[in-house]
Amino acid sequence: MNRLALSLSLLIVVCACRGRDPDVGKLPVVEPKPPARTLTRRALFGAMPVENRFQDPLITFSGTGWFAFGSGYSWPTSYRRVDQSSPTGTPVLVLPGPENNGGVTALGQLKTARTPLHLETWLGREEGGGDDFSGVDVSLVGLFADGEERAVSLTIDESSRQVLGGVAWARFTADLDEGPVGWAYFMAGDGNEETLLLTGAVAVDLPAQAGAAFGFSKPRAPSARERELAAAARERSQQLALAPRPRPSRPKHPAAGR
Amino acid sequence: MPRPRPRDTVLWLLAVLGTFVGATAASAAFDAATGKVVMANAAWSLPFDGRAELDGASVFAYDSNGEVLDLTAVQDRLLDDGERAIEGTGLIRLGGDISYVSVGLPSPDANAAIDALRDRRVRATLWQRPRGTRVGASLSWFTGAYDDPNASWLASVTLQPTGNVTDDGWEEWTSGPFDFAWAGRFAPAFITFTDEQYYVYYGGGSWDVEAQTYVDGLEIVDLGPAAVTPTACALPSERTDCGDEGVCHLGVCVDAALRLGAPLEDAALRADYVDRRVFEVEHFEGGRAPRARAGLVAAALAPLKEAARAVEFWPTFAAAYQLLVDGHASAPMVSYPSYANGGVCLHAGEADLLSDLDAEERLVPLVFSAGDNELGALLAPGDALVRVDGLPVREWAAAASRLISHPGDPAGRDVVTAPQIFNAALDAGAIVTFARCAGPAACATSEVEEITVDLGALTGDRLLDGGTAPLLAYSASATCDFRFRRPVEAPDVKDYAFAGSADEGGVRSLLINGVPDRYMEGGDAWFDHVTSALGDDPTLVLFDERSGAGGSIDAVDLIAAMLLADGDSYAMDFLPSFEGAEDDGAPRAAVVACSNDPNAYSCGNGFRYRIGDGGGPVASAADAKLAVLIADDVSGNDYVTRLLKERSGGATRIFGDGATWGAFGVIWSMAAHVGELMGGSMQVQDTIFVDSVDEPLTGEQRFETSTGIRPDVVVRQLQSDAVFGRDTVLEAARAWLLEVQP
Repeated sequence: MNRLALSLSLLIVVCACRGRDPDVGKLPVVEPKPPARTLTRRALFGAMPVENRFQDPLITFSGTGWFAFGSGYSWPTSYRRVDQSSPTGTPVLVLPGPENNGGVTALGQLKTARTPLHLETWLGREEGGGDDFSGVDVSLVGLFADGEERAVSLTIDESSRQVLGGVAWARFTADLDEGPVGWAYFMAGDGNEETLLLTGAVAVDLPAQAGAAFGFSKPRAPSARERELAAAARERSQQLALAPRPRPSRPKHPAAGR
Repeated sequence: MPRPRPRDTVLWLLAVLGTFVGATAASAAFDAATGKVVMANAAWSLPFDGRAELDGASVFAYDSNGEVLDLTAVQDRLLDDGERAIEGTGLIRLGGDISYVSVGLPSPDANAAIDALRDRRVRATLWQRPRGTRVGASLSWFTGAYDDPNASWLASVTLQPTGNVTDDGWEEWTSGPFDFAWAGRFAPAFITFTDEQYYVYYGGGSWDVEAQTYVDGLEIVDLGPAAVTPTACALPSERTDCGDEGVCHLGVCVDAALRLGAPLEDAALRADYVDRRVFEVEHFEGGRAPRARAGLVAAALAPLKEAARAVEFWPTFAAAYQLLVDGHASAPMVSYPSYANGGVCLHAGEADLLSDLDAEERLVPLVFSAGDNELGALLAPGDALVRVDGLPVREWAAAASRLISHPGDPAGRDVVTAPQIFNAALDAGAIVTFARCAGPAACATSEVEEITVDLGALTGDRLLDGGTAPLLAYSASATCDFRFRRPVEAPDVKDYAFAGSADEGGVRSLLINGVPDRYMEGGDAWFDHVTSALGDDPTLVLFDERSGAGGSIDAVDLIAAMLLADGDSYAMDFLPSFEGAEDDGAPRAAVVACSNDPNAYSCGNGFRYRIGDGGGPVASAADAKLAVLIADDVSGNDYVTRLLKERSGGATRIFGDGATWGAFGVIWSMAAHVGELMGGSMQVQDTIFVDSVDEPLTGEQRFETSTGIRPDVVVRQLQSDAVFGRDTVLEAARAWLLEVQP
């Protein structure tokens, strides 16, 4: 039921009951019917492009596209992927700060190249969690062609702020005149250990002629934590093994037999 | 006119790239006037409108801790709320604290509506409204009741999104069209709902027991007569025998959707899906030779965007990914690959006792071992598989490409796929013909005993007659390790993490099945065994890696560092794709410089690994005379074999047939985008082997992926040895090791 309909129905109920003997002259309460739900369409990647350099744009964790880290670079005690309304119509990763002593950082792997690169992601606060993103750290770290490892911070696009389903969202972006070589690491976390929502991670090539029309982000030296997490992600994804082949089974809990 | 701001340009770009929404394919069941789904056309449905619907239903359910839940617990998740429900007056809340549910469909014998669907084509549809999580849904067919412990898996269909959603968050999921009963005989046994939090859970995340999804409006709609008539068939003629919608399974035509998975039905989703997989190949693939073949994949997949049938959709992905010649590449899967082999292990060999065959015709799979069952009773070691469905084996295998795959170096294909040929024959219910000659003298054709087995009669026919097919049971399958005999025996000798050694006649034999990570179960013991076997300066070493499933870099290094002498090989450069800038040397130089910096952390997922960096013993067996036995060797075992070619101390020879896979780089799993069982995999690096520290980084870049290591001595199992219990490859290697040098 939408808010307008709810308010109207409450008003009718209140008016009908106030000052009346409940046993005398009852009037039937007529609740206005909520508008019927409507059918629409959603693309495979929601509002995100297909040509997205992130390995796992829907944050499914079904491949090696995402990792989450707690304090230091241990596993966090808590992070979740949820499906809920988001600006890109895609699932959301919840990084619950209070449940993780020392915070939690999401790390997404993306393939980059020496082309101009646009990066963006949507970050949110859980319902009732306000709209303050000042404690957020969101960056790209990678190896640039000169042999230096650097980081680029994504910055908030104030004009993008919106509230969906009670969640305050804002888009963070960065434009690079030349991307890192090889694979790069996107990281998002909250330094104040507030719960952070993450969705819509996108990395797309910019037209080569984009040139100085963009206010390109300035790379900086990576922080100690950024370095540690990138190293940990690389360590966890170095298998020289055969491709897995799933086998069917009778009905059983998926955890059984692993 | 104001000039567009850069951000506007980006937003426009994103809009063009990302928000394409195809022509609306309105759900036939959705009533726009009421905003409800109407199941008026359902032949069978589960509207979740009351507990009575599930009374008596067979249910397997678990909570997030794997604890069994009973039917009552499932019924307690029903919610009587007509306003929230998209269909009828109720819905069921799944996921979270009820993480896995298999609901048995009624037996056709007990339910007239289900029984009436035996020879019909149907579509299953359900709606779900994620509220913190989502469930994947699939239908499964078994050779008996779903709770019968002797029942074997026959088929499955995974539900997929249609792209239809409502403004309050309901999503429509469908099976696509499929023939309801396997060969008109077995109805789907159950529908399973699995909370997708498992992916995050196994990625290290936590389980949100409060996360749920509403599920409603499960219906099966009758679309008309079944598309495939369950007639007898043979795989090479399955198009003729079974038509455009069928495949040959256990000797009978069945709907391809049941065996291969239904194609993505919605045109817009399908086009995006194909484009995404092509993008992944073009950008994520790390092998340089495979990258040069990415256009072949794009060309192969492009027609699937326009239209797709089950016989071609997912098999085309599987075939296309093999075009890369990336031994780590595997296509996304929505259905299980064939696994049953009836306990029979066939491997590549030479039927040298069949004197009337020409040299090429003698290169056929030989029986290495057979299980203790009715099929095994017919076969003996050394029996040569000479025909399948009346065709020469090579010709039949070519027709069975949807069941036989080898993504690595084609030079190794005959060796690697030999056991798969028998799996495929069993899957198809083929007629297999073996030739037996007792030896030691060769047999003329008239002296050869032919053993012909109709695998369809042992499986499909029996099932259609109401019997069972024990050959399909999980317990009947055997692990085939490409060895006729083993130089080391132990109860767990076929286990991946096994390493064992034995001394015989002055020869130290070391047997492994891969190069496991030290931190996996059994990893420590593997490292200890290998260190012990190669650590005391052995003089003659027989290294049997005929079953080599790869593993970890440190394990590769452990073996190589002990067998190489100082200076034999310096390092390996693991290099991600530089997307067209491979030849200028600059990106590689950046990776190597980064890798040499002790403060570096990721180096673009590239690195230089110096031999001996693992910290194990060095050159402890460098002077040993070494025989390496290869057969099915991938990734980590590619590296081991490649490095051992550099030995300068003791003599080294590689014995075997075919080639290693040529998979030089790490493997990453790709994401599942539409609820597939797996999103496939790809190699995200290539490797340059570096001979010395001062080797220049510029100039020709010698990437090695796609080309495996060939044997120095081509030797294959002979039938004449097999009938007397001799392993030809093993004996050739021993003989060379024991040769006295002049």
